[in-house]
Amino acid sequence: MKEFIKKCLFFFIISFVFLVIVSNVMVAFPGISFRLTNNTWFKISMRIKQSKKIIKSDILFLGDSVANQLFPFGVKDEYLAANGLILASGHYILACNAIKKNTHIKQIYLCSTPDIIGLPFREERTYNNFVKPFYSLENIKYRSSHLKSELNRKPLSHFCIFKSVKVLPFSDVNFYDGKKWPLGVMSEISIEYLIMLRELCEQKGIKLKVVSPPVNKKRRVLSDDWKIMKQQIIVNNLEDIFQGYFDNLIILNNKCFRDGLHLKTGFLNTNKEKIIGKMLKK
Amino acid sequence: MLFNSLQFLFFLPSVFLLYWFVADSRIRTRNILIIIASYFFYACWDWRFLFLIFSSSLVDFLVGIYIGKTQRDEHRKGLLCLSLFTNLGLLCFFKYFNFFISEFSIMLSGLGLNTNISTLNIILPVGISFYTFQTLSYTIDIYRRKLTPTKDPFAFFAFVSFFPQLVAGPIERASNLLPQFSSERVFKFDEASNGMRQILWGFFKKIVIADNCAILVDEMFSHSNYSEIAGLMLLLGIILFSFQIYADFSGYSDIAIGVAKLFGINLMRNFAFPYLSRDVAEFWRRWHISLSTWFRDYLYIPLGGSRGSVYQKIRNVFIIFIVSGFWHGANWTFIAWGFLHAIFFIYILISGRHRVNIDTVAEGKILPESKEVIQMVTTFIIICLTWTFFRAESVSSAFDYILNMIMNIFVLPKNIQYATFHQIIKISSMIFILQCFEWINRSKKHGLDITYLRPMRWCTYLFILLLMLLFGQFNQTEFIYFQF
Repeated sequence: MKEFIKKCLFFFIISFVFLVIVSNVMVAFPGISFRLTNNTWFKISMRIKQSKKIIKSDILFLGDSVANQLFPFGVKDEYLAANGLILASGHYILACNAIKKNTHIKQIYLCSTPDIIGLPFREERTYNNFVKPFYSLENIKYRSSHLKSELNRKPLSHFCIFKSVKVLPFSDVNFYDGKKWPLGVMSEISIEYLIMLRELCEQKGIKLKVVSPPVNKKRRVLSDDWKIMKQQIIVNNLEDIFQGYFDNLIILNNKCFRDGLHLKTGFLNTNKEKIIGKMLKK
Repeated sequence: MLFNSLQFLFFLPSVFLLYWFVADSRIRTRNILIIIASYFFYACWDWRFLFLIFSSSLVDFLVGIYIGKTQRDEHRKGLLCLSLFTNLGLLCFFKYFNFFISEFSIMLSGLGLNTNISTLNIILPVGISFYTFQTLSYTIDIYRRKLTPTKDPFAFFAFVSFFPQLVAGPIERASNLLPQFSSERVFKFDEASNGMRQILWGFFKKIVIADNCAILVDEMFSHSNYSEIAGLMLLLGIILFSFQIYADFSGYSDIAIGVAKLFGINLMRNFAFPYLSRDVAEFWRRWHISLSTWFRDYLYIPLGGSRGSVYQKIRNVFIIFIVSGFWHGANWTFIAWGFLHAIFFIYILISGRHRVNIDTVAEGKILPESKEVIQMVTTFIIICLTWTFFRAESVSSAFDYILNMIMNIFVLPKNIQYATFHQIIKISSMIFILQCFEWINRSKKHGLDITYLRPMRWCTYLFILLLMLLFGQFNQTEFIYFQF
């Protein structure tokens, strides 16, 4: 019996060490890991890895999944659009990494639709899209007080700092609090990190501009023309980075979208250059 | 409490340590611990139904004693009827009441009579189909004088409620399991090690195979219009469901048998690589063995079995398979499933070939012969088609599925999303690995029943763990057979 328990414990230790080694390898090679597991957070990790490399261009593109359609990751070094669930905090960390490695960056475009840019921390997929890929020892310094309090709501999420825990599929933590976030309202964490991003860019002499990919007409109606968001921008003195955001907004009919949010491939292929031109209009 | 849950991860080692280290080696003490642990395990599902399992156990324990005491046939029959009435009555009420009420109502409406009979909001107690059959086997065997009734209530209650097999089998026979609770249990290193291997294999089947198949299967079968799906995708749906239900149920059985071995208890084998069967008769000797042998011993043989005239043989086969289908649930789809199996089985029975393939396929050889491959593939196709009825919401939906699959078989799928394509590749690879393990170990008790040198064995275990880490679904989904 004791022999059996000893062998079981020994096997568990060996398995644990083996899994830690595998986890570290998977985290180090997010591209291969993503192809193997199709796990979202590896996709985000690929952006994080890229943000620490040299970027030839002096313009950086961050953004949500719609922005990723216009500036697809992997096509150019400077395209680091991921998805909206990495939140403003994720965009901030990507920007910090890129600026640290590439002091020649002169312009950052944060491309995100009005309904996505203000997403709160309390979403079901926050853990897989933000916490898992971004929560690490080196990124602890980027935690704001607001972010800390959100993470503390689910203390188990702090274990995510260990690479093995990130890879474990059963460690998912759900931050959703049961309340649906209203459309067209920016969360506190979003505003906080946009302010931090603006300050960082001001320090480094980088121009930061928030622009929007095309938006579905229905969403304009549902969010009442983003009246609350417009007020929040004024109240938080963010007009400079949001200059022209709503004036240049491209509103399209529902038929241009495959799911109400993302553009249909055919439409995108035909109109991509025009859309980008209008989005980035000064 | 699911096997694939964190609670079970704490529950099992706790009970194991209490059983072997804290509880003294007296039979009674260990049985009491098993009863407490099992009732706790069951209460985690729904504590309100503990009285049911307790009542069923108490009735059959007392009935067993009194049948054993009395010699008069009428009294013995009466007592047996009491046991049958209690167990089948509970089963019929909880499982079939609403079905009969609604079908009766439909029939009356068909005759032009308006009815206002309402169904009840009855919750099906988990495991009721399994433990009622288990206790029935006890009283029937005593009645047949094949078993001596036990006077030890603790052994009997432990036999009924033993937690590894309480909620989804195997449906144990009293002649196999009860003596184990009436005798001293000694820890055996080899048995426990094999148990751990079987548990690992069971989890691999459930978490990697079954739960991954479920993602695509649910997508296929939940579609409102099958004509919009390419025939190949519908075919894939059926194949994946075949592996889902196999991996899910046999995975549960492997975990149950493996856990039981940790406690020095040997449960009966429930699956013997059924998808390596060469005909439907062999399939039924390898699939859900505990249920099929139960029906054989307590229904088929008393009806006459395969003796008698051709009409009697056909009648008995139909009864068995339809009842077996109905056991699975109160739905015409299960009856249709049973009916189809009866048709295929009768064909083999009448032609006298139902006991041709009783050995292991390609025994002693590395690869099967081409004839055996054709036999296995044909049998698998037949089984897959019958599973359509098992999975579909209704009989008409099942026919719709099969017809659209056949009519659109040459229509290629369009616009497959990357995630779906990735899932198909992933699950196909995992099924291939499963079948490789099962083929190599087809003459053993389970797919991971390996006897290589230790370094090779441990590499294999780590490989399985790696697959679970990379591809496992840890959403704590229930096992399919819990709904029965």
